Amino acid sequence: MTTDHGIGSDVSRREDARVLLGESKGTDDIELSDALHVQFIRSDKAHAEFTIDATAAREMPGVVAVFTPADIAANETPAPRPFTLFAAPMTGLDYPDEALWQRCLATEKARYHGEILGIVVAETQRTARDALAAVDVTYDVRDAAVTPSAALADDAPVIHEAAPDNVFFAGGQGDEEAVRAAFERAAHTAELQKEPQRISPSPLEPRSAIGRYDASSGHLEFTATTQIPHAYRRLMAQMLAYPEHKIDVTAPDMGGGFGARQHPYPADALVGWCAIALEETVKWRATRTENQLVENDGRGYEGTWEIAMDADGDLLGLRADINYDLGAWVARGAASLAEAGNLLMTGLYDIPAAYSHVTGVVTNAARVDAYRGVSAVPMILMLERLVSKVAKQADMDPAAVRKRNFVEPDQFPYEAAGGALYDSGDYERNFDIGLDEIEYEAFRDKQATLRDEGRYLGIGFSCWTEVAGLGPCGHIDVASWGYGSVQIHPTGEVTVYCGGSNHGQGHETSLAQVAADALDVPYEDVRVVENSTKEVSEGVGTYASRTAALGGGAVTKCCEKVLSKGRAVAAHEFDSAIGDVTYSDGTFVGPEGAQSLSFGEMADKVHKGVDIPAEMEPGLEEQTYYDPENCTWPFGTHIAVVEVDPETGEFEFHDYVATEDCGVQINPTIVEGQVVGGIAQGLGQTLYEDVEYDDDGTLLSDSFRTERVGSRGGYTLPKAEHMPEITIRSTETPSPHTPHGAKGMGESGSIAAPGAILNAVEDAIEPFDPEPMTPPITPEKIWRAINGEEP
Amino acid sequence: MVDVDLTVDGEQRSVSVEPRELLSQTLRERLGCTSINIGCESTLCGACTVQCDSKSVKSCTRLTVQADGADIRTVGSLADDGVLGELQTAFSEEHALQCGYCTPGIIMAVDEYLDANANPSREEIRTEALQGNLCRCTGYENIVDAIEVAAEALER
Repeated sequence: MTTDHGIGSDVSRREDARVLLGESKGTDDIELSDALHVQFIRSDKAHAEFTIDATAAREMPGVVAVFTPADIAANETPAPRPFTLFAAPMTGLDYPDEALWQRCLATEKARYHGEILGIVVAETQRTARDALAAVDVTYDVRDAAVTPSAALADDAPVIHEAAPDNVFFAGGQGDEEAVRAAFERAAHTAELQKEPQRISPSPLEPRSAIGRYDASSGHLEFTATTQIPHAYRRLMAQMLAYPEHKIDVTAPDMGGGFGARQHPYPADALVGWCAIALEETVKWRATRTENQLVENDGRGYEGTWEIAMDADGDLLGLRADINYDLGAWVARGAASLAEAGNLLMTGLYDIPAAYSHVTGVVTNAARVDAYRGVSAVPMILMLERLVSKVAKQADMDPAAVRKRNFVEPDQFPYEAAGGALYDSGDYERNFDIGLDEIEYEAFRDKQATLRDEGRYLGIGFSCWTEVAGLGPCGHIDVASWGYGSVQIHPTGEVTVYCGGSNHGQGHETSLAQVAADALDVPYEDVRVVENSTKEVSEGVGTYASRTAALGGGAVTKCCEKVLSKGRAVAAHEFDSAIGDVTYSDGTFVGPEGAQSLSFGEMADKVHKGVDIPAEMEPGLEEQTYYDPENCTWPFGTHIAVVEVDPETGEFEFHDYVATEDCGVQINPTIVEGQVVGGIAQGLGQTLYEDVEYDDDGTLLSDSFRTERVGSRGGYTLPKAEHMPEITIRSTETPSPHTPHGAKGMGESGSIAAPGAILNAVEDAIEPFDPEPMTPPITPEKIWRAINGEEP
Repeated sequence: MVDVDLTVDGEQRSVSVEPRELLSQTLRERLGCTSINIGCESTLCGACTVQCDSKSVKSCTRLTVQADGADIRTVGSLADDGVLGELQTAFSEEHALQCGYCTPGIIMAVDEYLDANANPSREEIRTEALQGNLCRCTGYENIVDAIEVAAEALER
């Protein structure tokens, strides 16, 4: 090997230096002084008809324009169209019609707190904010429904005339009859209700967007906080009815995404609209409150989950009936997410029958859409809680029940009852590593001994999988390939172009490792370019843990094509058959080892078109739209050990072990970083985070707060002091179908941590026979559960 | 408008600002210090932390006019002609940043903390050094590691 920085090495990240020197540039760091500034008139009410009087604002010095819905409708630049849906149905779910797709601004009435009612444009951001305060909005307030149960009540207000029952879509997946039969012959069943609550992805950088319009060329350019620059371009072309080839989008450095920036927002399209209508460069930057008001939330499930098990401990069936809180409009990805969760609802277990029914409910709240772990989070959380619960009811060991029911290594590819086709796995081996690490055999004795002393230890297991590396094309009605292109310079140096977006994942490092490994060239000779339609011609974006599998897969395939052409050049040079040319250590070698040609010498020849086969085109640049055979299915085991203080309901962690398998790891340090970061978000969901509306639909959690629990208002993100020390172990079961065996690893922690922590706390307080708790499990809720009160 | 003199990363700067202007706004918009990030505008996230006369402050909650005459340092000042300082190096080597939005603020807060607390325990790092800063990406563990490593290196 020429490179010691190939796949599997812990290379320090190239991205770090610019951050540490204070030189990274986000969207808000661009156009600091020259652009016009946009502020949005947003509804203060969750459900109200409104009128706007902008007279005073229009007259303020420095105000360029105020656009009410009527002004926008009358403008010669056509108003943005509604958002299209991310994908057509996969499973026959009855999708909502266009009347319910998210609009860019309210026209007749506002349906959630923060919905855009109009636009203010001014010379500076401060002037725009002053003008916003001078806009007078009069509301005729209606009753609001802010949860699925409220929106489905008999006396619920009608939020959309097109959906008078407040249902956007509904449908079932799986074999309902087989599940009914499984429950009939079960010796043990368990049931859980409600949860998981609505939470906010809360990237630390608020969203922003810049629109630039060049009237002479008709070129429209966006700089924006997005995970999907190319798909953003496609969507803006549709929404603004503008030619796609005249739009460019760049996503500069960004302070987190976590799925919340997988789909653009009304503000993005309206910034583009302002740029065209005013023929100016305009900039918008959200405040934190604005960000919390309208950036999509995640989760938001209410429902009933049930599991059936026979007397021997074999799991027989799984059933879910879910009301999914969609917010006031059907968001772009929400319906797809509702379907995707059902695919993997049986998790790592060989459960023969599964059925879920999902009802997408409209509420007077912000949209719900992708957030790290997406629908695997509720499905795995509820499954893992049910497995522990039914084991306890049957007086069986929860670890033993898991081991008994895991899909076996020889069952892959494995078709799960929910519809997923898992690619590879060795679940029990992975689980056993976690058990050994935690010394489980000794744990139960220790637990019993300590209980006699009045100390309450508990252990919680959570075994997870997710649909990663989202593809392949044809299964869902949306482009889902991985784009890559590899340019070989005449010096033998390499530029890799990839269609994702790097916003913390370290692609500039990890994809360079992939290319250096595949081409057997020095890592230092490889540069990675992403994040812009101006530099990379195509792409789908970074979400669903797809870049390691699909970006890395595309880069690997491009490199294979490069080496194939290189071999032909070398064979021509050696006057030998292509099959007699070998390549290693960056050098092509002829038969018997007599002749050699370095990678750089080959690149120079092919660049000049000198001494190459007659039928060969000069130049060395290869492109791939990599369409995988399947998604990838990483998996793992999280185990938490906690001790609860029954006097206060507080608890502390004694241990937290995550054993992960994401196939081949490109950069183990980056993988571990993703795991621990995900656990923090899963811990936040379990213990602290909760999007809170009052009954009128006013968002209370509209800024950060640092109190652990207690006062209403504010949104609590975990701090350093809230996190346990985490032990990470791994197994490696390569994906059989990605070219480099990688599966992707972005979401394990947010999927697995909630189940591990909840199961551990409930195991600890089991002697008190508590009712199941709904997260976030505050000390008060734990105390109430211990003391036999409704938690 | 009010005239204010500041020293920013060793350089004398004179600016005219609105009386209501926040230090974070002046440093970013008028002086181009874009390592200062505005995550919450309410003193909670710490992404805008700079050092003002050797004390770490959240620049989103200080008026620029209050800082007249101050010596302000941002994360770039810890490097020497592009060569990373101990704390910066430890952050890179321990993979203590992902998106990096919180990083400049954390480093300026921790730089001050380590001046007064040479040998903190991991518990102290979590509850004291990082008390005023949020990170949404890393789960903090590698940040704690990096601060431990830097503290040892600075002791030597």
